[in-house]
Amino acid sequence: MPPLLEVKNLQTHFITRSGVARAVDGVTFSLERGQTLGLVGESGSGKSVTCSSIVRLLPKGSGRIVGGEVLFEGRNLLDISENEMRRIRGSQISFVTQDPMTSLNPVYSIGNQMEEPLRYHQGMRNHGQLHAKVVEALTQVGIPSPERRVKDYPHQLSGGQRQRVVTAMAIECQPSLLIADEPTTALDVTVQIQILRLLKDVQKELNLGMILVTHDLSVIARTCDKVAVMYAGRIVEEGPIDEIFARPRHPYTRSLMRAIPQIGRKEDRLYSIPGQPPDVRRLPQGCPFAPRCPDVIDRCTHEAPTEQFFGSNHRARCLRAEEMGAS
Amino acid sequence: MTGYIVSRLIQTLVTIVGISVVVFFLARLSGDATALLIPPEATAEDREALKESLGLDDPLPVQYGIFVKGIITGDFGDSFRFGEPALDVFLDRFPNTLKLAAASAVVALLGGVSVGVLGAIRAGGFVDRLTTVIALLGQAIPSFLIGIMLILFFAVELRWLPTSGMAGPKTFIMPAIASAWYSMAALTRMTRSSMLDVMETDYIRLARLKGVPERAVIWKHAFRNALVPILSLFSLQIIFFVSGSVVIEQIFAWPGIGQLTIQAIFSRDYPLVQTIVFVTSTFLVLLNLGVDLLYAVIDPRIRLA
Amino acid sequence: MERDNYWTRNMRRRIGRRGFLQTSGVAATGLAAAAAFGCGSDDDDETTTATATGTASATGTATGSATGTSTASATAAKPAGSIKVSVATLQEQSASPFFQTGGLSSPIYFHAYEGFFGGDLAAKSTPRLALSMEQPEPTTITFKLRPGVKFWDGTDVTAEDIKWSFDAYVGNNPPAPPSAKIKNSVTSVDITGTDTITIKFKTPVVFQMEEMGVTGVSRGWPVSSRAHYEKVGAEGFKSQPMGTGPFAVKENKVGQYIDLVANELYWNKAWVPRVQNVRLNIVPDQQTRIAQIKTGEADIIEGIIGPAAETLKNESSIKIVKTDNTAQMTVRFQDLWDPATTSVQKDPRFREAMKLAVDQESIAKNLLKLGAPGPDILVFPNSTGYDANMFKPLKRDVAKAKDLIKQAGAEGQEFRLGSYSSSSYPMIPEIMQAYASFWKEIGINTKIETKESGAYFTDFQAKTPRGLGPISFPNFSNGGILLVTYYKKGGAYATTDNDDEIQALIGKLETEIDPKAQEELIKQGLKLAYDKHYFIAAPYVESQWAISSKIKSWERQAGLPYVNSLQTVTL
Repeated sequence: MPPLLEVKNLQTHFITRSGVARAVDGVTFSLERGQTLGLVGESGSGKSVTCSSIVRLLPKGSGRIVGGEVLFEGRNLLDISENEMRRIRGSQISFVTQDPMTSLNPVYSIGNQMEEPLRYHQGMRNHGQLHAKVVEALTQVGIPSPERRVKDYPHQLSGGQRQRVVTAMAIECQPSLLIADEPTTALDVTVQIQILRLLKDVQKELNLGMILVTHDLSVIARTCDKVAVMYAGRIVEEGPIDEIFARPRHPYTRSLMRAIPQIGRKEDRLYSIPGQPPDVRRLPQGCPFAPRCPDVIDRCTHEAPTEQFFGSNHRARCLRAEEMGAS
Repeated sequence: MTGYIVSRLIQTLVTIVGISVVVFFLARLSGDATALLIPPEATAEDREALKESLGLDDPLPVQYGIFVKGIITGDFGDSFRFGEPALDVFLDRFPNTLKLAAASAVVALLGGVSVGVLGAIRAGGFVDRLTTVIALLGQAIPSFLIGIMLILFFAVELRWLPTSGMAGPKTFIMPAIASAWYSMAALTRMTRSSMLDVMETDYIRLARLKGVPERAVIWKHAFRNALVPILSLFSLQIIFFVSGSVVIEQIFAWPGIGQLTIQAIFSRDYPLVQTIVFVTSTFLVLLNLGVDLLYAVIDPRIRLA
Repeated sequence: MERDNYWTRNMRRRIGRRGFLQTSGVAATGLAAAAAFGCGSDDDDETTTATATGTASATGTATGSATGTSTASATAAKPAGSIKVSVATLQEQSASPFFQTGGLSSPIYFHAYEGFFGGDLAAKSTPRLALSMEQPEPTTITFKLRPGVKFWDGTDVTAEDIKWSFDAYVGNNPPAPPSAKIKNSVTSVDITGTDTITIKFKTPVVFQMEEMGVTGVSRGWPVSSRAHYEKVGAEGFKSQPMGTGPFAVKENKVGQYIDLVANELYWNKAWVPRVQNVRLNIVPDQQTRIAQIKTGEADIIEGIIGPAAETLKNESSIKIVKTDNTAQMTVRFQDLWDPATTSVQKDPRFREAMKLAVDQESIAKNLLKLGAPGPDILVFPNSTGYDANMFKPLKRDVAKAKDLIKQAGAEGQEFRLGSYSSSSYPMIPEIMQAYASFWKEIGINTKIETKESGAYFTDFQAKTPRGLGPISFPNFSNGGILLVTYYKKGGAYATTDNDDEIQALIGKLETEIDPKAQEELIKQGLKLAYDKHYFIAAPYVESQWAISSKIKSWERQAGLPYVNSLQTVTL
């Protein structure tokens, strides 16, 4: 049986007036049912574009998938028709989006919006049935008195509730893959934890494969089985969560870890990685992280690092990966 | 919702009372009606007699009171010029204006919205560029020129349509297009930009991520959200349609209220001016109320606020 | 004094309308949409009519045969076919004989109604419902009625109907403009025999009721049937009126059209219409009317002004016909009325210089593309008292004008010139621009002020306008009425109050009932105004119509800017 999702050498480019932006530049990873992959990186590193590319919903006009394969249950999603793709979206592959405040359509009731996946994917027309399904889904995500909430409009709900609604909408059709794109960024810290717990619960309950996109390693640490760190459109390090946290092989991963505020660590200021992420339209020769790397050596500026494997499932793209693991 | 309706109703009532005051005094500011009705060499007694017969000898507040009483009883007095009840003279024409207004509104709305939506979903493409050009032309070419060009082309060259007048459905086509022209262009631009704004939103992205078919994404999710600014603009445009375009009526020999209004103002026919302006404005105020209630239907945030 | 009422009343209505017509911004009206009291005579380029001089004999008696035309023989055929006529406006468009408001709605009156006398094609006042009139004393006029005249429904017109119509006419609310005048000046209307009606007046009637009629050459009031009125009732009468004219009113759709149908019973067999059905369509825009004649939606369109006429010249199926001298415009010196002012306008040398500076020929040829230079005086070639030898248009003479300006010490002076549009005269604003540049050449600066027509009229009454002001009006056949209106001391429109010579002539004119003697006095009065340079003229203009090839011939009344005499249309 093929893995749930296998992304091979995915390349997504944006054609802009000032040049070609290689937003996703040869991304490869795979995911099994029941597994959670954390996709981490700074803004602009290509994590969201990778997710959008999986379901082929890139901004109109400029974004284009130029290479690679997206094998979903063995089937290349890049080869199927738009209509087939649409039928997969929201049924087999579901999304939980970033900002629950703006992700729900303000002019339709919760019930109306929640009925849509059922109508479009399961052809359900019966009002009573739809209503029952919606209420069931709302109950499942822990919305109190769901019967009443169905008639409410998004602006009558709190942010956390709205994210629960978005989640409920995502799982209604029993998907096998759930992509949560920074699902907690826009929420209060206390609510963040609840939503993460909810996602985790849902994932376990339905035995979903889940991709959790975040720029926050601490979120990954709490929820994921494995993690892929992206930088400048590539995965610079990937491995099982304990492996990565125990022995990060890439200086960028290490920097991200230093940026996690930790109780008990005495530091005047929160660590932040110096410099700016590189412009993906003009990547430097050599390692793209070299200009910001604390461990940079001469070779890094002119020699592009290749992937090195450490064991069967830990890989990193750094010339000094070997010595990093040792330190 | 009830609170919203009640407050809008009260506002509407206040507006109508305001209109009655403004109409009454503005009509009288246009000049002395008797100056155009009797010769300058008429004696002072003649003048007084005329004023008395027209009810212009009473103090202004009394005249206003009579006017308000007339509004309630539906008696707006006799037109100085036509010798008929002013309301009859007005109502003889107003349906013609309303029919053309309705036709123009449909043309403007259907044309503006469909072209605007098309431009928005094909943003940057050829259709979009064509749309922008059309919208620009619409706002740059005056409607009388469009009217004359339509006549020359469809009536004189092709002989498809009658030049003017109000007879069958065919006679509505050219005047409706000419009077809708400007509004259609404005609505096209508004629809395009409003739709473009909405298409960028997260809820449109989520709708697509849910696998909603593109047609439903556009018309269900995007269009209804884009509709509020479109409707606001449209309700402004309706004012022009309903108050009767003098230029369009002139070119297409349309028996509407536009020409009648000008005639009444220039001849200082107070009862007729008052009737036209009051009834038309009241109609528009009510229409506006209708549009406001429609907002509430469209957007729950207004309804439930 | 009172005599001025009718004239000025019409004047007022005309100005009111002008405003209405000009607002649209599109070249709309031209001459044909002109003013309220139409009348005139002479000079129709298509029609040959006998040139009758005076309208009455020396004893104050007018008799005449039926108004005939050269085509009188072609009368036997039954009316057939239909035509559509597009007019710019019919104003209030009342179908009632008793609420006919004047010039702009006169196409209705001309075809449906008549009184004792009316205009013939030469615009001379000729007998209609009367056979003759007599004025045995200045305050009494007796009309002898024409026998056998029938209403549209075939019933006979009786003296009783005529008397009843008088009461209905003056009692109509709102009053038709001339009816107020009649009401105020008439003491009694009596049936003084089976076929005689005698009217007694409060004051001597100088112009034999000409200024009282619905048009300047008609006498009396529109006549309708009492029996019919009582049958259909007051409201029904408005939409189903009754008259004696060559056409009957079939349907009146206010603001859209009026349908007329031939009256085969018309008493004058020469004027029984040859066309059965006539629709007068209201089409305010000239461009649309032109489109209509091209598509065949109209057979006659009115109000074709210069440049538009030229574009139609190439159309083989369309013909342009015109009636000459239908309107005139003059610039008046508006300071003259004020005895207190020391304005240089009071210097005849200045006024003459201003006249000499103007090039009327160039205005007619290059700007209006129609019309012909006229004398600097308020008069028409067919007006009573006009004399072509006495009143010659002045030739432009800039050198002489400059010299006169120097003599008058007016160099470098600035004048206000009120400019406004008119429905009776085209392109007034453009012409005023041209005049200002003519005057600039002789060292006079002009400040043009454009005014809303109604406000202008109010100013006019209040005598607040100073400087110069154009005034236009359609053809008017009695120079005496013009003289009294514009020259009489203290009159509302007078600008020559202080001229004792003219005042003396007017005094004589107001007591003279003999038409011959009247004409002589009018001529003398006009001569004085001409010699004293009281007005600066713009060209006389003609009215133009476009007709389709469907129409073989159409004779029109001289001097009349409105659609008229459709009974003469032959297909």
